[in-house]
Amino acid sequence: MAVGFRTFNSSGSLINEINDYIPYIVWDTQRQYSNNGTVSVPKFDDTKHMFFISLIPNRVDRSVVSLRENYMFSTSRTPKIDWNNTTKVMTFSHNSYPSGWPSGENYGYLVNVVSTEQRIDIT
Amino acid sequence: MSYGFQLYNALGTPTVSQDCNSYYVHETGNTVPYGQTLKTLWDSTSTSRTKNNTTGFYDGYDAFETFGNLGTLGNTYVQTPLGSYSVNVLDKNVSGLGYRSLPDFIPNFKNFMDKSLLTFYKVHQHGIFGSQQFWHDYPDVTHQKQGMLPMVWVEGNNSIPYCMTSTRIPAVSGGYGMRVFDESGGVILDTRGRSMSIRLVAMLKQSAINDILNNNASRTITLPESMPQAWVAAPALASYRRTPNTDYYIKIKQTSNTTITINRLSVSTLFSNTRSWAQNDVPIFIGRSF
Repeated sequence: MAVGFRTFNSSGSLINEINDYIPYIVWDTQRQYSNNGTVSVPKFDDTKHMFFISLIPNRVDRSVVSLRENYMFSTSRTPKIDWNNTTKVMTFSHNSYPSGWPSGENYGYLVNVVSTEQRIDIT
Repeated sequence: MSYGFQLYNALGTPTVSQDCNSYYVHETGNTVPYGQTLKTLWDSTSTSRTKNNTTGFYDGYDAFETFGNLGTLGNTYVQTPLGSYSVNVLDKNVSGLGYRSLPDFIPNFKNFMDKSLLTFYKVHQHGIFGSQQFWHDYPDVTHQKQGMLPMVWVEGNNSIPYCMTSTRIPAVSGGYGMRVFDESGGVILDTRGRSMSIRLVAMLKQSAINDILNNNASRTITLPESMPQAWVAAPALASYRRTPNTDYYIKIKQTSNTTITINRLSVSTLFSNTRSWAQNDVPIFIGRSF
């Protein structure tokens, strides 16, 4: 290792070697699929950061006997997220699924904006 | 930063600072292929579950449109870190229709993770062709109310090593080491906890995804050093394309100590329709093995 530092435990085993790029969470938010609108995210710069979503399955009705649908993931709509890197505004909307897709209930999603300052783009 | 401590790497990027919490290692193990015994999220008092007494998760979530067409034949159970019972789920070869492989789960993990979860996998033996993380937030669920659950789709439905990381500092012990604090007094580094050494972040662009799915193209990531059995995280890998009788997926596999290969995985099906689900850019995080 040419730069950085290492830490060892009392047995002499290497625990951390900190010379690497460490991504971090720039910003996150939790939305319902139908919760359209805009949010200003001044920290977000898409030349250095990117975001990905994690779906939040929706519990529909716990009271029914068959609980299969209770934790179903939506198949009726999908979130649409637009980012304007000039105005730093994220716009949330949702699209209907194309014809032929199965239908279902609604859901939410979690948006994580992660730093990727040393990323390589695979085009 | 007005005061404090920062550490920069050779490229001039902060590796320790107020904004750069480490991704701490919380748990390692091997994934469990779909079809094996898992626990359910639902509660800790229920007994055996079957497909006719379903509980837990519907398996047809649309982000992957994986096996929704199995309808009531397939019900996915997701394990939780608590509870002592187990359930049996359907065999992965249900109906024998040649559906795509079904996902692996993390077995019996102890750390129901927070929103910064990044789950890494070793892909040197078996590639992955799907990876998702689902956030659960159910205040009235009996014994596990909130957390992130990872799922991964593994080539050949094999078990592969996993490593769950997050920026939350794990429980640590020992009387020496180093801690770094932010301006609010929060700990941003505690060297008693093991960090994932992330050496590379790649962004698989949508253009590459389309080329791989449509044209059977491939892409490679050249690692900055020899990294046998590297850890790979792709928390939003879910693109696929369906043509009559064949589904195609994006597969990530380590093919040498310095190469990650991304190409197309084909799965035979009985579907006669055409459909595709192509994401926008997909992040890929690559860490050194430990």
